[in-house]
Order: sequence, then C-alpha cells, then structure tokens
Amino acid sequence: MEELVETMSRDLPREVADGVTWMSSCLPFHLQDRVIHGHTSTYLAQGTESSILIDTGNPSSWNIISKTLDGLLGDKPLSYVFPTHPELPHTGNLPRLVEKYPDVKIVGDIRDYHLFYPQIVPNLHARVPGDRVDLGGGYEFVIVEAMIRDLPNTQWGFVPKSGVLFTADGFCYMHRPELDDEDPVHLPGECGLTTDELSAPIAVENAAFFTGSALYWARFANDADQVYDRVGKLMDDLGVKIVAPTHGNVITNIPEVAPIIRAGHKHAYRY
Amino acid sequence: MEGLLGGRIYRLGGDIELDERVSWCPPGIRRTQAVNCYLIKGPSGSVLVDTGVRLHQADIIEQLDRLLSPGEPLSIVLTRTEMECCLNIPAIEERFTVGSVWYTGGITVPRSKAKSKRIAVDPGSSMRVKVMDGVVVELVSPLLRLLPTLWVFDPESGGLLTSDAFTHGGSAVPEAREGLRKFRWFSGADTRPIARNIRDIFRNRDVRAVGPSYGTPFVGTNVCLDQAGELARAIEEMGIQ
Repeated sequence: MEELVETMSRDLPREVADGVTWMSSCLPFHLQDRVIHGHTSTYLAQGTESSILIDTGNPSSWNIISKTLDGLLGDKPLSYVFPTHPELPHTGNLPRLVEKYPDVKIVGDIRDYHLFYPQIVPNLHARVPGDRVDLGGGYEFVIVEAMIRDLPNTQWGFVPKSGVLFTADGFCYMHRPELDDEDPVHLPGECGLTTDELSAPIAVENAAFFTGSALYWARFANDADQVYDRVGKLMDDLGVKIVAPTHGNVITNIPEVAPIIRAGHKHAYRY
Repeated sequence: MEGLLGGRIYRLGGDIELDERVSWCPPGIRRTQAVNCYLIKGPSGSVLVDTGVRLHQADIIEQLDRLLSPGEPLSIVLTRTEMECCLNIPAIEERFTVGSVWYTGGITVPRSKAKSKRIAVDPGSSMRVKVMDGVVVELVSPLLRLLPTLWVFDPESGGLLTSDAFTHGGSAVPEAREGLRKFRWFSGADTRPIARNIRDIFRNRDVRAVGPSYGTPFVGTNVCLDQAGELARAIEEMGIQ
C-alpha cells in the first residue's frame, strides 16, 4: 500500500551552509513489515535581498514546501526558482509557486516548459551556464553545466559564497540495498543527515545500482573516468565544499564520497 | 483525433511548433510536430496510453469526450513518467472515472483516486498484462531509452506505441536520425545491443502500426519493418563500435 503524502523529517529544514537551507521532503513507502523513505530534496538559497528555490519537489509535497517557505521567507516573497530539469520531482510545483508568488522568476534551461506549463510562460526566463543571479549581500547563484544528467535540458547550480553545488540527479546513490528498491531510499531517521553523519558509508555496488538504474546510459558508455575527471576539475575550479543532490543525503565529505560515486558509475557499465 | 488501427486505437493530442524552444528538436529545424497519446478501445472499457502535454489538455479532454461512452471504464498506462506523459492525469481524473494508472520507474505520478499500478519490466524483456477486460497488452521494455520506458504492444491490432522512439515521422523526408536528438549519449556508447533489440522487437511481433509520442505514426507492416531497420542502422551509426 503506497502512501502518497510526503513528509518532512523533524530534522528539516536544516541550514547546511551559509545561506543554504535543505528542505527535503521524503516520500514514505509503507511495505509489509517496514516503512522506507525516498528523498526529493529542494533547497533554498538566500541573500540579503533575494532568494532562489532549487527544484520544487513533487506536487504531493506542496503543503510541506509551502509551509516551510512561509517560515523561512517570513513576509518576503520568493524571488527565483531554478528547476534543474523538467521532471516531476524537480518542477512539479511550478504552477503552485507562481500562484503563490506571482512575480517569481523561473530561471534556467526552460526548453519544453511552454508545452508542459503554458500557464506560467510569462514567468520563464532562459539562462545559460555562467549566468549569475545576484541575491544581495555578496550571495549569488551561478548556473553551471550539468555534467551528469539524464534529460538534455538539465543544469546544475552553485552558490559561491558557501561552496554548495546543486547536482540534480548527479551524485545520487542508494545506501540501503537491502531495502530492495530501485530508488535512493533510506530509513526513517536518516532524512536530515549529511553523509558524514550516516552510520555506515556508501558501498560502491550501491552507487552502481542507482547509477545503472537512474542514469541508464552509464550501462552502455564506458566513460566514467572521463566524466568524473571533468566533474572533479569543475569542483576544483569552483571551490565546491558541499554537494547537494536532489535524491540523497547532502554530501559534506566529498573526498570520501566522490571516489565511491565514480567507482559506482564505472561498475554500472554493462550492469 | 484519428483512428490509427481499425477502430481499435485512436490517436489523440495536437500539434506543437518544433523549434529551438523544444529540447528534442534537431538543430535548424522549424516545423510543426504532432504530440500524441493513444486510446485503445476495448469491448467493455478503454485504455489511454499517455495523457499528452498540458498545452493540449482541453483538446484531449474533448477528444476523450467524443470517444468514450458515459461512464465507460478507463485506465491509463504511462510509457514514461516524463512530463508529456503524465501531466494531464489530474484533469482526466476530474472528468472521467479512471480505475488505475500503470507506470514504471520510481517517480510517483499525480493522481487522486485511481489505483496506482507500478510495474517493473527488465530492459530487453516484456510482460503481458490485462489492463482491463478485453484489453491485454504486452509491455515491452526497450533498451532504447533515456529514463524508464515501456512500449505498449496491442496484439489484437498490431499497434506498437513507442513512446519517445520513432519520432521522426512528419518531416518532408523522414530520417530516423532526426528522432534521436534526445539520445545524444549514444555517441559515447556501444549501441549495437540497442539496435539489435529494436530488430528483435519487430522480428518477434506482427507490428502493423507504430505510434510514437511525437511525430506522425507509421502504418503498414512493411513500412514498420523498414522504419525499424532504418532506426536500428541510425543507432548503430551514432554509437562507437
């Protein structure tokens, strides 16, 4: 029996870096003998003047997200939304966000959005990698090329001041293979933990399982080293300190986790 | 709205401007393109395969109104959980009684009362499912995909609904490669197993029409076989050997 209302852990929302709040909601799946959760994270980056929401969460999580935004923004409206790519967990609440904040600007690679959400066309503003959004007080949001992606109109984002890279479906993994599910699920109580707080490290085969499933092309393209060398260079160039994926716990110990994700990606070839 | 196969399968949806605002548009192309969903009419109910883009929502509801009898049972099968497949479910549920929504992959789909039927079919294999009385379809899990994908084969009519594959129909000179824009990862991949899988799917079934999610369908056994061969060749050419 599937419960379709997403919940937010008691530990969230949580400030994971200066000006960046993790406000993931989790979808609980009620199995016969236990409950497991799947992350659909949204993040709010705030400067002194403006704010930007990275991904929108699923429509089923709207009530939580709306309430959390009220708490975090106070009487200020949301200024920007950056949907990383047009899939339901990333864009599903765009119409409701526009209804709640009529002047909000939706920025990013907006190809296809006029077909999927014709009612929000006036709010759409195309942006390309390298473009910057000033949030005030020295905080800004930079659009970055998505180096690991599924849909072609995917972008990543970066907050330079706090060193947080938002990687959409990149750097996702599952660390509970025994739960027998294709999704990056976790146990109740783990929703708001960063990777250095998890009780057990991620295993390579678990990262491989997710990559082979969600990033299907990795099964046929033997280019993991090439891809992750580019990602590593990007992270060095930007000065990334934290990786914030949409589906998975926030990665705070990059030197430990990145090699595992890379090795998992390699294993996914001919999975 | 157009009958695709002898009153059994109908094509619903409308046209879009295919241009640089569309992610699957090949460079330099500007023309209109059909975006489709399909209705399989059974003896005691119908199955809607995908629900079309939000831009065509009102048209699709009106088309369903004309095709469905009052109170006719309706189920939905999604070929993918991507936006052009699932976003009209709430509006359809509001107007019609939807018994179940079948889908694959980990994303939940927007629905209210319809029963959720999440299914997993291993890539490269298929599974027969009875969606409702009189409508038994084969869900084919192709290797040609970006995200979890099912093709829907209706053995009764020979209609194969191919989701985001075979999308090149409708241009002046249809070229299979034109429909592969979304699959740019092929250029760094060994695509031979994917091409082989296309050939196998058509060799093992009597496919009389191919209905893609976008682009015009291909109708006729020989036309479908030719197009499958063309697509398989294009996939091989794009990949590394």
